[in-house]
Amino acid sequence: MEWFRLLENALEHTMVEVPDQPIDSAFLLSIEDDKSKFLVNKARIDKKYIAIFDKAWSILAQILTNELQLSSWKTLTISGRSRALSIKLLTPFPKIYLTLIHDINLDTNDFMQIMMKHILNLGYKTKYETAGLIASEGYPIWVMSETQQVDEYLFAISITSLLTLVERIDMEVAAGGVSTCIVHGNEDLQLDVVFNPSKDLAFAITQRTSGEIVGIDERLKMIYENISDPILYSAHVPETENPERDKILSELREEYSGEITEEEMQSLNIFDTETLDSLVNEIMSVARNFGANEISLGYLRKRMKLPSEVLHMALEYLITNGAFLGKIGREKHSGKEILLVKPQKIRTEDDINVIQNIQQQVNDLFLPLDPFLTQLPVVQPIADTEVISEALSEFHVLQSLTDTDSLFLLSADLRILASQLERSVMTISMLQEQVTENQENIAFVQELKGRLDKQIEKFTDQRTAIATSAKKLFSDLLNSYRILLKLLPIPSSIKHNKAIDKISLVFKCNHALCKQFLYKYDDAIGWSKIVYFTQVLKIIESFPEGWEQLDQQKMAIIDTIFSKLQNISDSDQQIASLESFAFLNELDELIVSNGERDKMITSLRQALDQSNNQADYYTVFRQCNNCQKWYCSNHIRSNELCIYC
Amino acid sequence: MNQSTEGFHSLLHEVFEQNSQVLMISLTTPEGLPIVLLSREDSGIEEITDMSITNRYAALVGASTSLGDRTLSTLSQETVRLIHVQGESRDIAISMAEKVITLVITEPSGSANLLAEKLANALKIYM
Repeated sequence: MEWFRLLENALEHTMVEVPDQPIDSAFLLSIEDDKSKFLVNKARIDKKYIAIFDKAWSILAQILTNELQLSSWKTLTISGRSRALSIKLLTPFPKIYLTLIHDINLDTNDFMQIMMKHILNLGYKTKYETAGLIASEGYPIWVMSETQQVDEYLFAISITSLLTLVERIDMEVAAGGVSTCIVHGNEDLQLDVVFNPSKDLAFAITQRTSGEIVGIDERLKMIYENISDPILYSAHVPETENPERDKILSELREEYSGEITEEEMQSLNIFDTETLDSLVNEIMSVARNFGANEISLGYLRKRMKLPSEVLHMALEYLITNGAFLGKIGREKHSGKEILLVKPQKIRTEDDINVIQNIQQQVNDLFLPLDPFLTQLPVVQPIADTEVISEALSEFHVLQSLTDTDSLFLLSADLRILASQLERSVMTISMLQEQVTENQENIAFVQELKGRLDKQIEKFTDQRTAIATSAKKLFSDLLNSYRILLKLLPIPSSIKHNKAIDKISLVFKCNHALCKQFLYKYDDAIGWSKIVYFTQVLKIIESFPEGWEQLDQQKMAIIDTIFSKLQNISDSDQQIASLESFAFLNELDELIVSNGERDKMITSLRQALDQSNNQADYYTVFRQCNNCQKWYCSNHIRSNELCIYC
Repeated sequence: MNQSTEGFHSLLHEVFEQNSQVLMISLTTPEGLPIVLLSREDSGIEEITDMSITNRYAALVGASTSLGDRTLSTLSQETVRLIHVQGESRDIAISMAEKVITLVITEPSGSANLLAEKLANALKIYM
């Protein structure tokens, strides 16, 4: 049980390092199969939590497998009034979970970061700057750094670009599945990305000097493969095989009996929901990243490592069941088989209703846990309930009103629409060339013109969709910022100190003679976004000196973005130009993510608390209801208007 | 063919002859225009002149460079110098120099990265 001893060791170190964290109990467990049995680190689990855990685990298994039909999951959090139970997949160790019973205000991600640091340091000596485990579509499962706080969102953007690069090279050069990609910078940065054999995980490390590449395989070999089988505890979850896979298999066996070889039939054992999910992900990923609506079956077969008959059956099954819109056809010239993928519809109101219903059901299912939590002595409120409830409601209002997840989705949708439009433009151009080249063949020209008309009609619809989405994004972004700016004072100047790569923020009272200010250093990505945005839109008409020091190149990009967003429906010529969509890649740089927002509030509060005798920052800076500028408490009146208004 | 062009053509041929694992070398300008594309075929080393093929590799190099730049600049404001992708059936490296981008494709584990960097340095005298 070497692997478990190592993890326990890491847990011990973590608990020692964060003695003030309000954690009641932390323990490790290993899930032996999908849902029914697990191994618990008994040394740390308190018997009084067994009942809670048992109940949570049963409900989790039912919801995830039966109700939501999810084949894998990473985190479950069940919150009571003052305590929460969190179960997190301890990546990169598949099927090993870290469980915490903790105060609801604890940011479990912090705890996880420390935990992962200890795990990474166990038995390995390597110098790295940043390390992260990446899922197949580029989303970081966890990211950590030895030297600085890593912004997960920026890391995700960076890795997504790299994965697109790898995907494209793999497709064009037929590299046969990429195992490693190393990118060297023009200075001394080196980014190493190692993929696992099934290509669904990547381990990324940035380093400044040439060092050992730490492969995920090496770690898993040492730790995970040593997992033996003692099962110390079984939850009361009915044992189920995999009804979904059995159903698919029996349907396929009936339909294709006699038409495929016995060997291929044997390979149907891998034809489970997980394979189907990854096939859909692969198709959608290619369609989205390359704007492709025709995907070679040969390519899919190589990527999925499936026999052609099995791939056929899987695709037919997925198309019939509406997993995506498309059909199997043949390429016109070569006659090779291709998958024709139709553009996926954007989520409809019906879809949203279904999702809301499921969420409601999930909420209802979790209700019975509340009595369990309140019956335990440790979950009695430990502080003034009014204070907690006030703080929570303020936080929740802030979260709901400035949630920017939908903006990122809208921005991603826009990029998809833009790539589809680019393709239409190319098709139109190609058809026009064919018309010119074949003028003597009247019948063929007539056919081409018919296709051209349809393509132009499609182009017009796509253009309208882009204009509508862009306007919605612009309007939502504006609303989100207006609310955010009521909660956060705007820095009166911002300077980038390149020598130490820090941004210095100065918050000053807007009264001309007032000297009340806070001066602070931060790695303030979120603040930069706010500053750029306010500058572009001129929400606040004039600022003190300092703006001209902003990065001129970024200001130019933002100017271009907004002028294009605002004029998008008025300039058909510009829309038709392929280059005009390059600006969509920069859109995400303007959206303050939820994580950045929370970080800004926390860091500003901490700084102001330290510098103003623990006064809340709203008592130090308040926004004038008329001119929207921020003033210190001496220069704003009780009616929330500044002395100038 | 002028003297300079002859010079780097013979250099590329030499690289092919001395390194049996090399399958293809493509040179592209930083603006994305193809300069030359040499490929190892059954009949020997051939210069590919079909524009649709040379443009395809130039486009691949251009896209890879800009995606690599985007990857690194997001992390640390650096631009890309070398991209090395190791696949099961091919080893691919793209090296960026001031006036030429070199793409080298070799057999698996063919040290495409080392060749691409050396070649980019050697080509400086012709550019």
